[in-house]
Amino acid sequence: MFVVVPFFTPSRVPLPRSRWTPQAPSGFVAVVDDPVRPDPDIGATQYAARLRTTMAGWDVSVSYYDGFDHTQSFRQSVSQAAPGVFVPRITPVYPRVKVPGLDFSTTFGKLEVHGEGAFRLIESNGRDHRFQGIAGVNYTQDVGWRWLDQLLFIVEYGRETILKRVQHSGILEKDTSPLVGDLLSDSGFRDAIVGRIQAKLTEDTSVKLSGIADLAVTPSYFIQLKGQHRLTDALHVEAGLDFLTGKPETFWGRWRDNDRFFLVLRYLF
Amino acid sequence: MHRSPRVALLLAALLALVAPARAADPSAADVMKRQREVHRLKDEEERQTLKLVNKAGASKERKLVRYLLSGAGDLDKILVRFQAPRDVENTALLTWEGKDGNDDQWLYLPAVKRPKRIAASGKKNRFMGTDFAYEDLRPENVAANTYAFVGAEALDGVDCFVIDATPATERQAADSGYSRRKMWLRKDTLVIVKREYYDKQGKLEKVESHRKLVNVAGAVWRANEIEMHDVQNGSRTVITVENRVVNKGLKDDFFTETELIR
Repeated sequence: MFVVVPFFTPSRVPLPRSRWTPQAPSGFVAVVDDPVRPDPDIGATQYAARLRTTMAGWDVSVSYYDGFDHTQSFRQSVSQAAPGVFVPRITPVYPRVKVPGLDFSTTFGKLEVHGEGAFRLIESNGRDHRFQGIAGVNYTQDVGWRWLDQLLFIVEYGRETILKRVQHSGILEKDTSPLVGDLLSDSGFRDAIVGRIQAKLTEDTSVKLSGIADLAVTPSYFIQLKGQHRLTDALHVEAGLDFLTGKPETFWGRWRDNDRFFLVLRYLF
Repeated sequence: MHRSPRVALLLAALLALVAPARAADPSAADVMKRQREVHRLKDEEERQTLKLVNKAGASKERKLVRYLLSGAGDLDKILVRFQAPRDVENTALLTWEGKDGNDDQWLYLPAVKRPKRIAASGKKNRFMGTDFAYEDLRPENVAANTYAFVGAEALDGVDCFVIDATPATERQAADSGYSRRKMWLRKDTLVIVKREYYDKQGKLEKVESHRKLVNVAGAVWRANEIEMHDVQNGSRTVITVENRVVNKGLKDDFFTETELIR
């Protein structure tokens, strides 16, 4: 499989006043520029390729991506606000990366085992080369009771390792920065355990409890309890609770005030 | 049923093959192997309508297309893709039959947007809310079962072999949702016309009936209507074949994960 994307489109980021936008610590002053997007020319073309095969019950694939990271990094500099008065200046930019990757999955009886890993190698606008990987198992237990048909268990471990720093990159450290901690971090899988228990009550109704524990530096957690029910083929309802916990400067803890209840009605036509 | 002279000749040849075997006291496994051989096609494509009727009589309808490719070593590849209603549209299941019943299976759910390999335990689960388990949708796997004659019986006025099938190994027993299955095969065409499925406690769980048999190629017959009746919970699923194309030249690379996500 080979994909070419001639134009770069960044990910949507939270609006400045969104509750999902990290808030700077009080007293922190900086000039923040508009994001600098790659020039819309042939140099911004992105490529990806993937080769996969199945051998002796194993699905294996290798992939390669040459393009932009769709979330921003921050170039730091200093701006003169007035004669003799200098303030930090932050310019959001998009790193160009080359990403060779590998993934696999197989089954051993009732156990499904899977994993994937990728080397995120910086071409420009980045601070460091990283390896990111996640691996885990799924286990399905058929129950067959009238009100509990099946239980699904998923456990995964995610890890991110810095392979090499890019010298004099001018890019702000996103993780554990002075003053702002993990407020700029965009990865919840630096040292993380992911788990889910899903109970399929009937063909139309299921309940699942999911959680992510980010253990990098200071632990923080995201927990979600969600129920889904198919009222008709066209009308589905889901409801749940999100809990985000941890110290304010941690990855999930920065959204600790964003615990919520949600109710979604979905009509398909 | 209408039979062409060519089909009659093939059937006569088939019966000639079966008759000496019976004289030599053939095993039920021999009959099942012959049944599998006789009704194999290079490939087939079926467009089906599934009617799901619950105990109260309320019904839902699903539409799907099913592709099958006969492979080497009597092992098939099967791709099933739902086309309607909207909430299951493009949900697809790919099965590569494996030796001794150790199949590879992948499920594609559009909401997840990537195919997922599913473990053996999933095979006894019901397929998309129908009364068919994943394992019911695959062709009879002769290597994965032990067969025994339990008699002969006329069904709708046609003589049938009655054969019991039990999982061949403990592993296959654990992977299957059934303790045994009882099958009725027409003696003239070796078409399976009825199956009874018994749960792990040995109680009758489901009855599958094959109706509206049609001769699709040579000595090959197919049912244009299959009903699965869950006698324990009262629900039933009826598969009606709306259109069938056989030996159209499907290739191996059609039965891949890549095709699942199209």
